[in-house]
Amino acid sequence: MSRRVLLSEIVDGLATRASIPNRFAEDFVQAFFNVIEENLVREKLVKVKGLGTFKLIDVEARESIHVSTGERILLAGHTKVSFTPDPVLRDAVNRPFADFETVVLNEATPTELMERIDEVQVPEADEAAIPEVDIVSKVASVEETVPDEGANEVVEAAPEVETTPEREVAPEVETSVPVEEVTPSEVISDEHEIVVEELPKTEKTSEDVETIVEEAHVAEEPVVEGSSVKEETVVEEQTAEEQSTEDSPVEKQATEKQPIEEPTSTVSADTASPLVSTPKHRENYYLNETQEETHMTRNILLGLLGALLCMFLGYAICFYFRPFELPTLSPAPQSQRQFVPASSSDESAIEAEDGAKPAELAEPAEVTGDKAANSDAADAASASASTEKAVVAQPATATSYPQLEGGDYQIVGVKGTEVMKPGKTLLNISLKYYQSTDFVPYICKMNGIDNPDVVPLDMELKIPELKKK
Amino acid sequence: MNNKEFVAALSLKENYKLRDTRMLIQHLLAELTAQFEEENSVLVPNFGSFEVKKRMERVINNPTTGQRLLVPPRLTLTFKSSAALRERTKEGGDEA
Repeated sequence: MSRRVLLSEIVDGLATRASIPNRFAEDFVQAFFNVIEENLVREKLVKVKGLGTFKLIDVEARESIHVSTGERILLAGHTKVSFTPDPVLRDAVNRPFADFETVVLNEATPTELMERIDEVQVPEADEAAIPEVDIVSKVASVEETVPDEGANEVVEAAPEVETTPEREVAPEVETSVPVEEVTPSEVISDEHEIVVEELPKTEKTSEDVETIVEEAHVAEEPVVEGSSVKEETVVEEQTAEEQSTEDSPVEKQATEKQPIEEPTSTVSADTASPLVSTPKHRENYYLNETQEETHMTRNILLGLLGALLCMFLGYAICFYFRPFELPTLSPAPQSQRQFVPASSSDESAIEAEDGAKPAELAEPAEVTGDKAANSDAADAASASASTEKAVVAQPATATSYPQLEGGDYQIVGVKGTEVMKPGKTLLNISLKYYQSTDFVPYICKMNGIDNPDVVPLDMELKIPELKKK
Repeated sequence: MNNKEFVAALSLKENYKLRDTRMLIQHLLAELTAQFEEENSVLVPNFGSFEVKKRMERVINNPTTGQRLLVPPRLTLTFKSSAALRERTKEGGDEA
């Protein structure tokens, strides 16, 4: 086809066609192109009928940009020889494609579609389902199978040694174990049937054990060939090894779906004389999987623990700083709310304790330091009160009142009760009982009030009995 | 220079009759065409090379009508002048 032809070949062809001596032909061909060249130089245009038109075209100098350096360069002007083939010659050359014609395309025609290659998708999962039916039917003659829900189990049987259990579509069945059972082969047939039991089980509980028996034909193997009943164990091990080595890519797939349980031998009992072999790598995988699981659970537990710790710390910090802020902030917000209608009655039991009130009142007053003048008198009073209280307070502390962390005082008992009414505020109450507004946090603490600005109406407040730490 | 002048010039140069020259040209072109039809490229020393090239099909737009045309693939004969011819035509062009 396309090859380079030298002028000498043309000369030969001309000589045979015109039946003239070769040298004349060569002379003529040389003269032919020489005349073209001469007249081209002279007249810039030569038309040869049957060949085409040679033309000299002046190309003007132009600027261009160097591709790599980017600098502007000047391309020198030159003349080029253009050749336009004669229509006759052009058609002759184009003869192989002469049938084609220029086609007007519709505007809507997408040109991209012309070049697109259709993608062929091969569904893999569906393929395996079909051979399985055949396999089961085959095996049924030799051995009895107990497929419980095995219809959805996908097992592919290769004509060779390969056994490729594929992943299940059903989400519950996460793992499946192929267990090879080598039936003692007939010596004549040279073929060994490997029965693979699939024992898929759910992850959490291994209640339902599905079994599927798959038969794979083992290609002729010298070791297995002469197997007798005595050698069965050896054969079985070897076949297992061979399977693990030969079918390594396939087996990996299988081992990925290793179950945690050991395969039950229900099917093997049914079968005539099967040998169940569990290769070692499966056990290894079992370990790996359980390790992974424990890792997972450990991580989750650690995360939960961390979250709990964070919550606890946050709560503790909030709790720690709250009481200190309150006394400073207190006057402004406290005056607004907590209006309670008068209703409830005081408790008589607490009233009884109120007898000790005058003595105790002096104690907080002294601590606030506002009334330094009274301190001497208060000291005397508190001294007598404290001894008296000590007896009473000891059992009270035993009942463990809520204590304010970081405070100077300790809640040792219930001094009295106040029912929230309109006009009453925590500040007022604090003033009334302790002669100071600084004790609101203790009242809050005693009554479990989180936000001192919001105290519901008719709430019965227990006024704590305080003791300096 | 048209074909008639070319044949005359060639016959004058080779001292052939006009009729013989036409015949020889006809045979030569037949031979060349035969080579080109086989998609062979012909090298002519000190002149240039003729080569058959395939132009792929392409879609062109007619800017005035907006029509889109699918141009089929075709084989074309191309000529590439040799360096010697270019040099001489350059000189000749300058002279002219």
